[in-house]
Amino acid sequence: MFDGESSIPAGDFKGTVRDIRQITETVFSIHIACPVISRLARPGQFIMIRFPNRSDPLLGRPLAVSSAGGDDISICFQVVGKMTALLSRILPGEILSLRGPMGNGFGLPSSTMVTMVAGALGAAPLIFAYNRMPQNIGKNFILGVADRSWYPFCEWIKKLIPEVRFFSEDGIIGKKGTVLNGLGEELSPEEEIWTCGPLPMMRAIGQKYTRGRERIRVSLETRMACGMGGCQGCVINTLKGKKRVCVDGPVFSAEEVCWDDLKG
Amino acid sequence: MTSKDKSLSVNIGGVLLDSPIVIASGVWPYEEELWSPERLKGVGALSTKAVTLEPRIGNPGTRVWETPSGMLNSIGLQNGGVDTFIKEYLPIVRKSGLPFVVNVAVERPAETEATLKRLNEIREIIPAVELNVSCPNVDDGGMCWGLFPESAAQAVSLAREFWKGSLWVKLTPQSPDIRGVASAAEDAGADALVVANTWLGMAIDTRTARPVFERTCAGLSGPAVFPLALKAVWDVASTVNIPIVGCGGVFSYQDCLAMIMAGASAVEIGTAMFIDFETPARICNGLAGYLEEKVLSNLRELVGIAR
Repeated sequence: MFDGESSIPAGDFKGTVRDIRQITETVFSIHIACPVISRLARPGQFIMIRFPNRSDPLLGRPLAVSSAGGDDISICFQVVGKMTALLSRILPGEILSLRGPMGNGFGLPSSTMVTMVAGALGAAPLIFAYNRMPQNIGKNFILGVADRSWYPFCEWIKKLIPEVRFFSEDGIIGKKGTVLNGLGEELSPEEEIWTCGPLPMMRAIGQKYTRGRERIRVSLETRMACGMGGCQGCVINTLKGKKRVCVDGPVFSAEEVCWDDLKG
Repeated sequence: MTSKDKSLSVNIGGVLLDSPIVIASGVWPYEEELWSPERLKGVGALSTKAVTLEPRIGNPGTRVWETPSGMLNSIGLQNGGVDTFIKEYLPIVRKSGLPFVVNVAVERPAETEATLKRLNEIREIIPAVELNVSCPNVDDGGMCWGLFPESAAQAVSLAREFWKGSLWVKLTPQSPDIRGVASAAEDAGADALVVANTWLGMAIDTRTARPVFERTCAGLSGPAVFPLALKAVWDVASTVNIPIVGCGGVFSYQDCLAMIMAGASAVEIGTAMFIDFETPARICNGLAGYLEEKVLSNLRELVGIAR
Protein backbone atom coordinates (compact mmCIF):
# COMPACT_ATOMS: atom_id res chain seq x y z
CA MET A 1 0.00 0.00 0.00
CA PHE A 2 1.23 3.47 -0.86
CA ASP A 3 2.03 5.36 2.29
CA GLY A 4 3.81 8.55 1.33
CA GLU A 5 5.55 10.71 3.83
CA SER A 6 3.38 13.44 5.40
CA SER A 7 4.64 16.92 4.87
CA ILE A 8 3.80 20.19 6.54
CA PRO A 9 4.52 23.38 4.60
CA ALA A 10 8.04 24.79 4.87
CA GLY A 11 6.50 28.21 5.46
CA ASP A 12 4.70 31.16 3.90
CA PHE A 13 6.59 32.78 1.07
CA LYS A 14 6.15 35.64 -1.35
CA GLY A 15 6.17 34.76 -5.02
CA THR A 16 6.48 37.14 -7.96
CA VAL A 17 4.38 36.42 -11.01
CA ARG A 18 6.65 35.92 -14.04
CA ASP A 19 3.97 35.43 -16.63
CA ILE A 20 0.41 34.34 -17.09
CA ARG A 21 -0.89 32.46 -20.04
CA GLN A 22 -4.48 31.93 -21.04
CA ILE A 23 -4.91 28.41 -22.37
CA THR A 24 -8.67 28.21 -22.89
CA GLU A 25 -11.49 30.61 -22.16
CA THR A 26 -11.36 29.59 -18.49
CA VAL A 27 -8.01 27.83 -17.98
CA PHE A 28 -4.82 29.66 -17.11
CA SER A 29 -1.23 28.83 -16.27
CA ILE A 30 0.98 31.08 -14.14
CA HIS A 31 4.74 31.00 -13.63
CA ILE A 32 5.76 32.29 -10.23
CA ALA A 33 9.27 32.99 -8.98
CA CYS A 34 9.60 31.44 -5.52
CA PRO A 35 13.04 29.85 -5.06
CA VAL A 36 12.38 28.01 -1.78
CA ILE A 37 9.22 26.30 -3.00
CA SER A 38 10.77 25.56 -6.38
CA ARG A 39 13.72 23.86 -4.70
CA LEU A 40 11.60 21.80 -2.29
CA ALA A 41 8.55 20.88 -4.36
CA ARG A 42 8.05 17.25 -5.32
CA PRO A 43 5.47 15.91 -7.78
CA GLY A 44 2.01 15.69 -6.29
CA GLN A 45 2.67 18.38 -3.70
CA PHE A 46 0.71 21.61 -3.70
CA ILE A 47 0.73 25.16 -2.46
CA MET A 48 -1.91 27.32 -0.82
CA ILE A 49 -2.06 30.50 -2.85
CA ARG A 50 -3.62 33.82 -1.86
CA PHE A 51 -3.30 37.53 -2.28
CA PRO A 52 -1.31 39.18 0.49
CA ASN A 53 -3.13 41.97 2.33
CA ARG A 54 -6.53 40.86 1.11
CA SER A 55 -9.08 39.49 3.52
CA ASP A 56 -11.58 38.59 0.81
CA PRO A 57 -10.93 36.03 -0.47
CA LEU A 58 -9.36 35.11 2.83
CA LEU A 59 -7.98 31.59 2.81
CA GLY A 60 -5.33 30.19 0.52
CA ARG A 61 -6.51 27.93 -2.30
CA PRO A 62 -4.80 24.59 -2.77
CA LEU A 63 -3.27 24.31 -6.24
CA ALA A 64 -0.97 21.57 -7.42
CA VAL A 65 2.53 22.44 -8.55
CA SER A 66 2.68 21.57 -12.26
CA SER A 67 6.37 22.27 -12.71
CA ALA A 68 9.36 23.41 -10.71
CA GLY A 69 12.73 24.40 -12.06
CA GLY A 70 15.31 27.09 -11.37
CA ASP A 71 13.62 29.69 -9.19
CA ASP A 72 10.19 29.15 -10.66
CA ILE A 73 7.12 27.02 -10.17
CA SER A 74 4.03 26.91 -12.28
CA ILE A 75 0.40 26.31 -11.48
CA CYS A 76 -2.55 25.71 -13.72
CA PHE A 77 -6.16 26.44 -12.84
CA GLN A 78 -9.67 26.88 -14.12
CA VAL A 79 -11.75 29.91 -13.15
CA VAL A 80 -14.45 28.57 -10.83
CA GLY A 81 -14.89 31.26 -8.18
CA LYS A 82 -13.73 34.53 -6.69
CA MET A 83 -10.10 33.60 -6.07
CA THR A 84 -9.49 32.00 -9.45
CA ALA A 85 -11.22 34.91 -11.19
CA LEU A 86 -8.80 37.29 -9.47
CA LEU A 87 -5.86 35.05 -10.30
CA SER A 88 -6.85 35.00 -13.96
CA ARG A 89 -6.41 38.79 -14.07
CA ILE A 90 -3.03 38.91 -12.37
CA LEU A 91 -0.13 40.56 -14.17
CA PRO A 92 3.62 39.88 -14.27
CA GLY A 93 5.40 41.51 -11.34
CA GLU A 94 2.50 41.15 -8.93
CA ILE A 95 3.11 39.42 -5.62
CA LEU A 96 1.29 36.36 -4.33
CA SER A 97 1.48 34.66 -0.97
CA LEU A 98 2.37 30.98 -1.18
CA ARG A 99 2.20 28.45 1.65
CA GLY A 100 4.01 25.24 0.89
CA PRO A 101 5.13 23.03 -0.57
CA MET A 102 2.94 20.59 1.29
CA GLY A 103 1.47 17.16 1.16
CA ASN A 104 3.02 13.77 0.62
CA GLY A 105 3.16 13.89 -3.17
CA PHE A 106 3.12 10.86 -5.42
CA GLY A 107 6.41 9.53 -4.06
CA LEU A 108 8.54 7.13 -6.07
CA PRO A 109 7.01 4.32 -8.13
CA SER A 110 7.23 0.81 -6.77
CA SER A 111 6.60 -0.76 -10.18
CA THR A 112 8.37 -0.52 -13.52
CA MET A 113 5.52 1.15 -15.39
CA VAL A 114 3.35 4.08 -14.36
CA THR A 115 0.21 5.06 -16.22
CA MET A 116 -0.79 8.59 -15.40
CA VAL A 117 -4.50 9.27 -15.79
CA ALA A 118 -5.68 12.86 -15.72
CA GLY A 119 -9.14 14.31 -15.87
CA ALA A 120 -9.03 17.88 -17.23
CA LEU A 121 -7.18 20.13 -14.76
CA GLY A 122 -6.12 17.04 -12.82
CA ALA A 123 -3.29 16.98 -15.34
CA ALA A 124 -1.44 19.66 -13.35
CA PRO A 125 0.37 17.49 -10.74
CA LEU A 126 0.77 14.66 -13.24
CA ILE A 127 2.69 16.86 -15.70
CA PHE A 128 5.20 17.41 -12.91
CA ALA A 129 5.23 13.71 -12.03
CA TYR A 130 5.70 12.75 -15.68
CA ASN A 131 8.67 15.05 -16.10
CA ARG A 132 10.34 13.93 -12.89
CA MET A 133 9.76 10.21 -13.43
CA PRO A 134 12.99 8.20 -12.96
CA GLN A 135 14.44 7.23 -16.35
CA ASN A 136 14.21 3.49 -15.77
CA ILE A 137 10.45 3.64 -15.28
CA GLY A 138 8.09 3.27 -18.23
CA LYS A 139 5.33 5.86 -18.43
CA ASN A 140 2.03 6.55 -20.15
CA PHE A 141 -0.16 9.62 -19.95
CA ILE A 142 -3.89 9.60 -20.58
CA LEU A 143 -5.99 12.74 -20.50
CA GLY A 144 -9.76 12.83 -20.49
CA VAL A 145 -11.78 15.97 -21.22
CA ALA A 146 -15.46 16.73 -21.68
CA ASP A 147 -15.70 18.33 -25.09
CA ARG A 148 -14.19 20.47 -27.84
CA SER A 149 -13.83 23.49 -25.55
CA TRP A 150 -10.78 21.74 -24.12
CA TYR A 151 -9.00 21.56 -27.47
CA PRO A 152 -6.47 24.37 -26.71
CA PHE A 153 -5.76 22.74 -23.36
CA CYS A 154 -5.05 19.42 -25.05
CA GLU A 155 -2.77 21.14 -27.55
CA TRP A 156 -0.91 22.72 -24.64
CA ILE A 157 -0.53 19.37 -22.88
CA LYS A 158 0.67 17.75 -26.10
CA LYS A 159 3.56 20.20 -26.26
CA LEU A 160 4.58 19.23 -22.74
CA ILE A 161 3.91 15.50 -23.12
CA PRO A 162 4.07 14.42 -26.79
CA GLU A 163 3.05 10.83 -25.96
CA VAL A 164 -0.25 11.84 -24.37
CA ARG A 165 -3.41 9.96 -25.42
CA PHE A 166 -6.72 11.83 -25.36
CA PHE A 167 -10.29 10.80 -24.66
CA SER A 168 -13.26 13.11 -24.93
CA GLU A 169 -16.90 12.49 -24.27
CA ASP A 170 -17.96 13.98 -27.62
CA GLY A 171 -15.17 12.22 -29.51
CA ILE A 172 -13.87 15.45 -31.04
CA ILE A 173 -10.54 15.21 -29.24
CA GLY A 174 -8.76 11.83 -29.34
CA LYS A 175 -10.95 8.79 -28.87
CA LYS A 176 -14.59 8.95 -27.88
CA GLY A 177 -15.18 7.89 -24.32
CA THR A 178 -13.64 8.38 -20.93
CA VAL A 179 -10.17 7.65 -19.63
CA LEU A 180 -11.48 4.29 -18.43
CA ASN A 181 -11.59 3.22 -22.08
CA GLY A 182 -7.83 3.72 -22.17
CA LEU A 183 -7.15 1.39 -19.28
CA GLY A 184 -6.69 -2.37 -19.52
CA GLU A 185 -9.14 -4.83 -18.00
CA GLU A 186 -6.56 -5.91 -15.47
CA LEU A 187 -3.71 -4.10 -13.82
CA SER A 188 -0.53 -6.05 -14.39
CA PRO A 189 1.73 -6.59 -11.39
CA GLU A 190 4.44 -4.44 -13.02
CA GLU A 191 2.11 -1.51 -13.53
CA GLU A 192 0.69 1.20 -11.35
CA ILE A 193 -1.73 4.06 -11.96
CA TRP A 194 -1.36 7.60 -10.70
CA THR A 195 -4.49 9.66 -11.15
CA CYS A 196 -5.89 13.09 -10.51
CA GLY A 197 -9.14 14.59 -11.73
CA PRO A 198 -12.82 14.80 -10.91
CA LEU A 199 -13.88 12.59 -8.02
CA PRO A 200 -16.25 10.37 -10.06
CA MET A 201 -13.39 9.58 -12.45
CA MET A 202 -10.99 8.68 -9.66
CA ARG A 203 -13.64 6.67 -7.87
CA ALA A 204 -14.32 4.71 -11.07
CA ILE A 205 -10.61 4.02 -11.54
CA GLY A 206 -10.17 3.17 -7.88
CA GLN A 207 -13.00 0.67 -8.05
CA LYS A 208 -12.32 -0.68 -11.54
CA TYR A 209 -9.82 -3.28 -10.47
CA THR A 210 -10.49 -5.98 -7.94
CA ARG A 211 -6.79 -6.79 -7.78
CA GLY A 212 -3.94 -4.31 -7.56
CA ARG A 213 -5.84 -1.39 -6.01
CA GLU A 214 -2.90 -0.79 -3.73
CA ARG A 215 -0.97 0.15 -6.87
CA ILE A 216 -3.37 2.96 -7.73
CA ARG A 217 -2.44 6.32 -6.27
CA VAL A 218 -5.17 8.93 -6.26
CA SER A 219 -4.63 12.62 -5.65
CA LEU A 220 -7.70 13.90 -3.82
CA GLU A 221 -9.08 17.37 -3.37
CA THR A 222 -11.26 18.65 -0.52
CA ARG A 223 -12.06 22.05 0.91
CA MET A 224 -9.20 23.22 3.08
CA ALA A 225 -8.62 26.11 5.43
CA CYS A 226 -5.13 25.93 6.87
CA GLY A 227 -3.07 23.61 4.69
CA MET A 228 -0.88 22.64 7.63
CA GLY A 229 -2.85 19.83 9.24
CA GLY A 230 -4.24 22.02 12.00
CA CYS A 231 -7.90 22.69 11.36
CA GLN A 232 -8.90 19.16 10.36
CA GLY A 233 -11.28 20.67 7.87
CA CYS A 234 -10.13 18.47 4.99
CA VAL A 235 -10.34 15.00 6.55
CA ILE A 236 -11.54 11.93 4.67
CA ASN A 237 -12.38 8.46 5.90
CA THR A 238 -9.79 5.79 5.16
CA LEU A 239 -9.33 2.20 6.26
CA LYS A 240 -6.79 3.60 8.72
CA GLY A 241 -9.24 6.12 10.15
CA LYS A 242 -9.57 9.84 9.49
CA LYS A 243 -6.80 11.33 7.42
CA ARG A 244 -6.10 14.93 6.49
CA VAL A 245 -5.91 15.48 2.74
CA CYS A 246 -3.56 18.45 3.21
CA VAL A 247 -0.63 16.80 4.99
CA ASP A 248 -1.44 13.06 5.14
CA GLY A 249 -2.41 13.26 1.45
CA PRO A 250 -3.31 14.53 -1.05
CA VAL A 251 -2.12 11.25 -2.57
CA PHE A 252 -3.69 8.09 -1.19
CA SER A 253 -3.77 4.47 -2.22
CA ALA A 254 -7.12 3.69 -3.90
CA GLU A 255 -7.31 0.72 -1.57
CA GLU A 256 -7.34 2.78 1.63
CA VAL A 257 -9.90 5.41 0.59
CA CYS A 258 -13.49 4.83 1.79
CA TRP A 259 -14.94 5.84 -1.59
CA ASP A 260 -18.58 5.63 -0.55
CA ASP A 261 -18.03 8.29 2.10
CA LEU A 262 -16.68 10.81 -0.40
CA LYS A 263 -19.21 13.19 -1.86
CA GLY A 264 -19.15 14.42 -5.42
CA MET B 1 11.64 42.26 20.28
CA THR B 2 14.41 40.30 22.00
CA SER B 3 13.95 37.41 24.37
CA LYS B 4 15.07 39.64 27.24
CA ASP B 5 12.57 42.31 26.35
CA LYS B 6 9.76 42.04 28.87
CA SER B 7 7.71 44.96 27.63
CA LEU B 8 5.18 42.58 26.06
CA SER B 9 5.08 40.09 28.92
CA VAL B 10 1.78 39.38 30.61
CA ASN B 11 0.44 37.26 33.42
CA ILE B 12 -2.76 35.47 32.54
CA GLY B 13 -4.21 33.76 35.55
CA GLY B 14 -0.79 32.86 36.91
CA VAL B 15 0.67 31.84 33.54
CA LEU B 16 3.56 34.07 32.49
CA LEU B 17 3.72 34.82 28.78
CA ASP B 18 6.59 36.61 27.03
CA SER B 19 4.18 37.91 24.43
CA PRO B 20 0.43 38.51 24.53
CA ILE B 21 -0.18 36.29 21.51
CA VAL B 22 -1.78 32.93 22.23
CA ILE B 23 -2.49 30.48 19.41
CA ALA B 24 -6.15 29.55 19.83
CA SER B 25 -7.45 26.04 20.30
CA GLY B 26 -8.10 23.97 17.19
CA VAL B 27 -5.41 25.61 15.13
CA TRP B 28 -1.98 24.11 15.70
CA PRO B 29 -1.44 20.46 14.73
CA TYR B 30 0.79 18.05 16.65
CA GLU B 31 3.33 17.76 13.85
CA GLU B 32 6.59 17.94 15.73
CA GLU B 33 8.34 20.33 13.34
CA LEU B 34 5.72 22.97 14.07
CA TRP B 35 6.61 23.04 17.77
CA SER B 36 10.16 24.28 17.25
CA PRO B 37 11.03 27.81 18.43
CA GLU B 38 11.67 28.94 14.82
CA ARG B 39 8.08 28.12 13.87
CA LEU B 40 6.67 29.89 16.96
CA LYS B 41 8.34 33.28 16.89
CA GLY B 42 6.31 35.88 18.74
CA VAL B 43 4.01 33.28 20.29
CA GLY B 44 3.42 33.72 24.01
CA ALA B 45 1.48 30.51 24.56
CA LEU B 46 -0.55 27.90 22.72
CA SER B 47 -3.92 26.41 23.43
CA THR B 48 -4.16 22.75 22.44
CA LYS B 49 -6.86 21.28 20.29
CA ALA B 50 -9.89 20.48 22.44
CA VAL B 51 -9.53 17.35 24.55
CA THR B 52 -12.43 15.11 25.54
CA LEU B 53 -12.50 12.01 27.74
CA GLU B 54 -13.00 9.54 24.89
CA PRO B 55 -11.81 9.84 21.30
CA ARG B 56 -14.16 11.71 18.95
CA ILE B 57 -14.20 11.34 15.19
CA GLY B 58 -15.65 14.77 14.63
CA ASN B 59 -18.39 15.79 12.24
CA PRO B 60 -19.18 14.21 8.85
CA GLY B 61 -19.55 16.17 5.63
CA THR B 62 -18.16 19.57 4.80
CA ARG B 63 -16.19 21.03 7.69
CA VAL B 64 -14.92 24.38 6.43
CA TRP B 65 -16.47 27.03 4.20
CA GLU B 66 -15.18 30.46 3.36
CA THR B 67 -17.37 33.52 3.83
CA PRO B 68 -16.63 37.20 3.10
CA SER B 69 -13.50 37.93 5.18
CA GLY B 70 -14.22 34.94 7.36
CA MET B 71 -14.75 31.23 7.54
CA LEU B 72 -17.23 28.79 9.00
CA ASN B 73 -16.04 25.59 10.61
CA SER B 74 -17.80 22.53 11.89
CA ILE B 75 -15.02 20.20 12.99
CA GLY B 76 -16.81 18.75 16.00
CA LEU B 77 -13.98 18.30 18.50
CA GLN B 78 -12.16 15.57 16.58
CA ASN B 79 -9.48 14.33 19.00
CA GLY B 80 -7.96 11.14 20.31
CA GLY B 81 -9.23 11.48 23.89
CA VAL B 82 -7.38 12.58 27.01
CA ASP B 83 -5.23 9.46 27.38
CA THR B 84 -3.92 9.74 23.83
CA PHE B 85 -3.33 13.43 24.40
CA ILE B 86 -1.24 12.79 27.50
CA LYS B 87 0.71 9.91 26.00
CA GLU B 88 1.28 11.03 22.42
CA TYR B 89 0.80 14.76 22.13
CA LEU B 90 1.72 16.31 25.46
CA PRO B 91 5.42 15.42 24.99
CA ILE B 92 5.37 17.27 21.63
CA VAL B 93 3.56 20.26 23.14
CA ARG B 94 6.12 20.49 25.91
CA LYS B 95 9.02 20.50 23.46
CA SER B 96 8.27 24.07 22.42
CA GLY B 97 9.26 25.25 25.88
CA LEU B 98 6.39 27.74 25.68
CA PRO B 99 3.52 27.92 28.15
CA PHE B 100 0.44 26.09 26.93
CA VAL B 101 -3.13 25.64 28.00
CA VAL B 102 -5.00 22.39 27.57
CA ASN B 103 -8.39 23.10 26.06
CA VAL B 104 -10.92 20.81 27.72
CA ALA B 105 -14.34 20.60 26.09
CA VAL B 106 -17.06 20.41 28.71
CA GLU B 107 -19.08 17.23 28.25
CA ARG B 108 -21.44 15.57 30.69
CA PRO B 109 -20.33 16.19 34.29
CA ALA B 110 -18.95 12.68 34.85
CA GLU B 111 -16.86 12.86 31.68
CA THR B 112 -15.61 16.37 32.36
CA GLU B 113 -14.69 15.32 35.89
CA ALA B 114 -12.76 12.28 34.64
CA THR B 115 -10.87 14.29 32.03
CA LEU B 116 -9.88 16.95 34.52
CA LYS B 117 -8.84 14.37 37.11
CA ARG B 118 -6.48 12.79 34.57
CA LEU B 119 -4.94 16.17 33.81
CA ASN B 120 -4.81 17.12 37.48
CA GLU B 121 -2.67 14.08 38.22
CA ILE B 122 0.06 15.67 36.13
CA ARG B 123 -0.73 19.30 36.83
CA GLU B 124 2.88 20.18 37.62
CA ILE B 125 3.61 19.96 33.89
CA ILE B 126 0.41 21.63 32.68
CA PRO B 127 0.43 25.42 33.06
CA ALA B 128 -3.33 25.86 32.65
CA VAL B 129 -6.60 24.39 31.49
CA GLU B 130 -8.86 26.32 29.16
CA LEU B 131 -12.39 25.18 29.91
CA ASN B 132 -14.34 25.20 26.69
CA VAL B 133 -17.97 25.97 27.50
CA SER B 134 -18.42 27.34 24.03
CA CYS B 135 -17.95 24.78 21.25
CA PRO B 136 -20.84 25.38 18.82
CA ASN B 137 -20.26 22.21 16.84
CA VAL B 138 -21.40 19.37 19.10
CA ASP B 139 -24.77 18.45 20.58
CA ASP B 140 -23.74 17.11 23.94
CA GLY B 141 -22.30 19.71 26.26
CA GLY B 142 -20.14 22.29 24.56
CA MET B 143 -21.81 25.61 24.04
CA CYS B 144 -24.97 24.93 26.02
CA TRP B 145 -22.90 25.20 29.22
CA GLY B 146 -21.80 28.70 28.38
CA LEU B 147 -25.11 30.21 27.41
CA PHE B 148 -26.42 31.12 30.86
CA PRO B 149 -24.83 32.20 34.15
CA GLU B 150 -26.28 29.23 36.06
CA SER B 151 -24.96 26.53 33.77
CA ALA B 152 -21.62 28.30 33.36
CA ALA B 153 -21.27 28.49 37.14
CA GLN B 154 -22.04 24.79 37.38
CA ALA B 155 -19.40 23.87 34.78
CA VAL B 156 -16.72 26.13 36.21
CA SER B 157 -17.41 24.97 39.79
CA LEU B 158 -17.03 21.37 38.67
CA ALA B 159 -13.78 22.19 36.92
CA ARG B 160 -12.52 24.10 39.92
CA GLU B 161 -13.18 21.07 42.09
CA PHE B 162 -11.15 18.65 39.99
CA TRP B 163 -8.53 20.86 38.35
CA LYS B 164 -6.28 22.64 40.85
CA GLY B 165 -4.11 24.61 38.43
CA SER B 166 -4.77 27.83 36.55
CA LEU B 167 -8.24 27.78 35.01
CA TRP B 168 -9.10 29.81 31.92
CA VAL B 169 -12.68 29.71 30.73
CA LYS B 170 -13.50 30.23 27.05
CA LEU B 171 -16.88 31.91 26.70
CA THR B 172 -19.39 31.76 23.88
CA PRO B 173 -20.56 34.94 22.19
CA GLN B 174 -23.93 33.23 21.68
CA SER B 175 -24.89 33.92 25.28
CA PRO B 176 -27.69 36.47 25.59
CA ASP B 177 -25.96 37.57 28.81
CA ILE B 178 -22.20 37.32 28.34
CA ARG B 179 -21.57 39.71 31.22
CA GLY B 180 -23.62 37.52 33.54
CA VAL B 181 -21.81 34.40 32.32
CA ALA B 182 -18.43 36.11 32.80
CA SER B 183 -19.29 37.12 36.36
CA ALA B 184 -20.59 33.65 37.14
CA ALA B 185 -17.37 32.11 35.84
CA GLU B 186 -15.27 34.52 37.87
CA ASP B 187 -17.30 33.83 41.01
CA ALA B 188 -17.01 30.07 40.45
CA GLY B 189 -13.23 30.28 40.43
CA ALA B 190 -12.02 31.08 36.91
CA ASP B 191 -8.54 32.65 36.82
CA ALA B 192 -8.95 34.17 33.35
CA LEU B 193 -11.57 34.44 30.61
CA VAL B 194 -11.14 33.94 26.90
CA VAL B 195 -13.62 36.14 25.04
CA ALA B 196 -14.81 34.48 22.91
CA ASN B 197 -15.34 31.40 20.75
CA THR B 198 -16.86 31.47 17.23
CA TRP B 199 -20.22 32.94 16.30
CA LEU B 200 -22.95 30.66 14.99
CA GLY B 201 -23.56 31.07 11.31
CA MET B 202 -24.58 28.99 8.35
CA ALA B 203 -24.23 28.64 4.62
CA ILE B 204 -26.46 27.18 1.95
CA ASP B 205 -25.07 25.50 -1.12
CA THR B 206 -27.28 27.00 -3.80
CA ARG B 207 -26.37 24.22 -6.24
CA THR B 208 -27.88 21.60 -3.97
CA ALA B 209 -30.35 23.88 -2.17
CA ARG B 210 -29.20 22.37 1.11
CA PRO B 211 -27.26 23.71 4.09
CA VAL B 212 -23.52 23.25 3.52
CA PHE B 213 -23.00 21.73 6.95
CA GLU B 214 -24.60 18.53 8.16
CA ARG B 215 -25.34 20.23 11.47
CA THR B 216 -26.74 23.23 9.57
CA CYS B 217 -24.90 25.74 11.78
CA ALA B 218 -21.17 26.23 12.14
CA GLY B 219 -18.76 28.60 13.89
CA LEU B 220 -17.77 31.86 12.19
CA SER B 221 -14.26 33.27 12.65
CA GLY B 222 -11.84 35.58 10.87
CA PRO B 223 -11.67 39.35 10.33
CA ALA B 224 -15.44 39.45 9.81
CA VAL B 225 -16.07 38.87 13.52
CA PHE B 226 -13.45 41.25 14.92
CA PRO B 227 -15.83 44.13 15.78
CA LEU B 228 -18.18 41.65 17.48
CA ALA B 229 -15.36 40.13 19.52
CA LEU B 230 -14.10 43.57 20.48
CA LYS B 231 -17.53 44.48 21.82
CA ALA B 232 -17.72 41.22 23.77
CA VAL B 233 -14.36 42.02 25.37
CA TRP B 234 -15.52 45.55 26.12
CA ASP B 235 -18.68 44.23 27.79
CA VAL B 236 -16.94 41.55 29.83
CA ALA B 237 -14.17 43.93 30.91
CA SER B 238 -16.80 46.14 32.50
CA THR B 239 -17.84 43.26 34.70
CA VAL B 240 -14.87 41.16 35.86
CA ASN B 241 -11.53 41.74 37.54
CA ILE B 242 -9.69 38.66 36.24
CA PRO B 243 -7.56 38.90 33.07
CA ILE B 244 -9.30 38.69 29.69
CA VAL B 245 -7.87 37.13 26.56
CA GLY B 246 -9.56 38.66 23.52
CA CYS B 247 -10.30 36.23 20.73
CA GLY B 248 -11.99 36.78 17.39
CA GLY B 249 -10.62 38.05 14.10
CA VAL B 250 -7.33 39.47 15.37
CA PHE B 251 -4.99 39.76 12.36
CA SER B 252 -2.88 42.86 12.94
CA TYR B 253 -1.10 44.60 15.80
CA GLN B 254 -3.75 47.31 15.59
CA ASP B 255 -6.43 44.67 16.22
CA CYS B 256 -4.41 43.42 19.18
CA LEU B 257 -3.99 46.96 20.52
CA ALA B 258 -7.72 47.60 20.22
CA MET B 259 -8.47 44.43 22.19
CA ILE B 260 -6.02 45.53 24.89
CA MET B 261 -7.37 49.06 24.99
CA ALA B 262 -10.86 47.57 25.41
CA GLY B 263 -9.68 45.64 28.44
CA ALA B 264 -7.96 42.44 27.27
CA SER B 265 -4.51 41.55 28.57
CA ALA B 266 -3.69 39.19 25.71
CA VAL B 267 -5.25 37.88 22.52
CA GLU B 268 -5.79 34.52 20.93
CA ILE B 269 -5.35 34.15 17.20
CA GLY B 270 -6.65 31.34 15.07
CA THR B 271 -7.76 31.99 11.52
CA ALA B 272 -4.83 34.39 11.06
CA MET B 273 -2.45 31.43 11.47
CA PHE B 274 -4.26 29.65 8.65
CA ILE B 275 -3.03 32.25 6.22
CA ASP B 276 0.18 33.66 7.70
CA PHE B 277 2.63 31.87 9.97
CA GLU B 278 4.36 35.19 10.64
CA THR B 279 1.30 36.73 12.31
CA PRO B 280 2.58 36.47 15.94
CA ALA B 281 6.00 37.92 15.13
CA ARG B 282 4.43 40.65 13.00
CA ILE B 283 2.00 41.63 15.78
CA CYS B 284 4.79 41.65 18.40
CA ASN B 285 6.95 43.88 16.23
CA GLY B 286 4.05 46.27 15.76
CA LEU B 287 3.30 46.33 19.48
CA ALA B 288 6.96 46.92 20.39
CA GLY B 289 7.11 49.78 17.88
CA TYR B 290 3.96 51.30 19.31
CA LEU B 291 5.30 51.16 22.88
CA GLU B 292 8.53 52.79 21.75
CA GLU B 293 6.69 55.54 19.94
CA LYS B 294 4.48 56.25 22.94
CA VAL B 295 7.38 55.89 25.38
CA LEU B 296 5.66 53.19 27.38
CA SER B 297 7.55 50.49 29.26
CA ASN B 298 4.94 47.77 29.21
CA LEU B 299 1.86 46.80 27.29
CA ARG B 300 0.01 46.45 30.60
CA GLU B 301 -0.19 50.25 30.75
CA LEU B 302 -2.60 50.12 27.83
CA VAL B 303 -5.08 47.60 29.23
CA GLY B 304 -8.51 49.20 29.23
CA ILE B 305 -7.33 52.75 28.45
CA ALA B 306 -10.06 53.24 25.88
CA ARG B 307 -12.70 52.89 28.55
